[in-house]
Amino acid sequence: MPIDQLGGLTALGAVLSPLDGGGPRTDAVVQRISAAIGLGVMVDGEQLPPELDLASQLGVSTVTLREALAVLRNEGLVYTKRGRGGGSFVKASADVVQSNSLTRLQQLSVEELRDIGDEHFAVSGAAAALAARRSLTTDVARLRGLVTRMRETAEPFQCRRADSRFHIEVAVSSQSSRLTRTEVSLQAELSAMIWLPQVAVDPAAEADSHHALVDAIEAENPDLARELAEFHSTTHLRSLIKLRMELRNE
Amino acid sequence: MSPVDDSRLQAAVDSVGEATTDLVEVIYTSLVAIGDALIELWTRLQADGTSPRSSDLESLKSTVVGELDARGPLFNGAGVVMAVGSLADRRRYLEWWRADGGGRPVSQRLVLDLNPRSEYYYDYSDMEWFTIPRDRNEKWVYGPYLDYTGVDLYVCTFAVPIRLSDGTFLGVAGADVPVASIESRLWPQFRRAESGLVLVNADGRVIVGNDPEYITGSKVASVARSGAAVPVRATPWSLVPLHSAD
Repeated sequence: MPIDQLGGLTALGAVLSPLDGGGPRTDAVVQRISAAIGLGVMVDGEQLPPELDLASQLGVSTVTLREALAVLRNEGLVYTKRGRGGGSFVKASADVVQSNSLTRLQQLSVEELRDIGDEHFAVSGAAAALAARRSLTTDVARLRGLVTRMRETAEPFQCRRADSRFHIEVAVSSQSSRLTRTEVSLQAELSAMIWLPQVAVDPAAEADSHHALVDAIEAENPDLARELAEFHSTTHLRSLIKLRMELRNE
Repeated sequence: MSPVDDSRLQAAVDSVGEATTDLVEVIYTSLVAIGDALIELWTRLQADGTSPRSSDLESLKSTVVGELDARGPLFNGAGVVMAVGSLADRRRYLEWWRADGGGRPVSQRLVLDLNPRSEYYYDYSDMEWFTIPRDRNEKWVYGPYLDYTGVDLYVCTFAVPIRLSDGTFLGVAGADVPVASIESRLWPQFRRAESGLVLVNADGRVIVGNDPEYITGSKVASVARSGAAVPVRATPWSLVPLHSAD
């Protein structure tokens, strides 16, 4: 099932804005909340808003929301406590997120995976080129901060969040709402898969390649920035497709 | 360089500059009204011996919604953003309302991610629109920027400091003004300018302009700006005439 375009860019907006379009609403709610957990918008132990509020923010009935919460409970991403101080809480342990991502990867065909990769190739390349034309000193400083955080974090979960945040911030620096919105959706869809232990992404190498991209943006070199972003995107997708093929052969 | 009609250019710069200053002053007037409402509320609660809590701020809604209605599409949202630790119950808090955009008198309260453990934690205490009014006691406008952890729009955020008479900083009164609204307000003056003219922020980012080469969000290199930039009164912005090179 392809992920819906996230409703908003905002941290909570990505989760809580009304779903548009038709289609199976339960699946859409499940995707929205899983994406928020994957991106680190909702963190381990965080309480979800009361059912009535959450349903109205998402523009679905409480029945649909309850169905979605039941699916999320089955997937181990949410647990519910009864009684006083009760409610639904996020369970975002690395194990749960990883096993869900692996399942998700197995649901995708190589062709679908390639197609997501193609979109990321286009969006990340364009965002990097525009960021190189439009970034100010403060944008570059923000990007450098994320590269440093990635270099200094040994913990894979934190590393992945810094990585997806970095890609989103490059799009933010491009000044384009549309590119940013698309990049947020793509990160929600791709980042947990790319950081599966089986893909074996090396955080230090990752930080180096981000560093080079920030240098190109700072140097106001759009051609180089685009080339680096495209190469980065292609490399990751190739590793992911390789893993998908190996899983198929088992 | 082609000869520039100096008097015509000067007239265009004056006209756009005045319209910009007027626009910005209208925005600040609204924010001062919101700030005054907070000061009044705060003083009253303190006189009762009460330490203000987040729930007390709900009574600001009528003032904020009144300003939203008065400003129409110019304001996407407005409210107060509290000094860290000023409220008795919440370390960080903002009472912020958004117009529904459809012209109906319905407003939505903005809920932001104030969970420090979240990746997208909205820590306003180091954002420029908050720090400059706090640290320099000045009205300020930050942007244009893509506020993707906040309101999901390309905006300029305007803010004025709110202080009690003894100088205690309570927070800022602020408004998010969509860049598209600034553009539509200033376009008539820009259109009358017969040569290229851009309004840029202090960092040289274009807010509005009438030249397809220098569109909103792009940068005007400092070399091109130097000497030619005309400051716009009451703002950290300036107008840059674009001389066409032969």
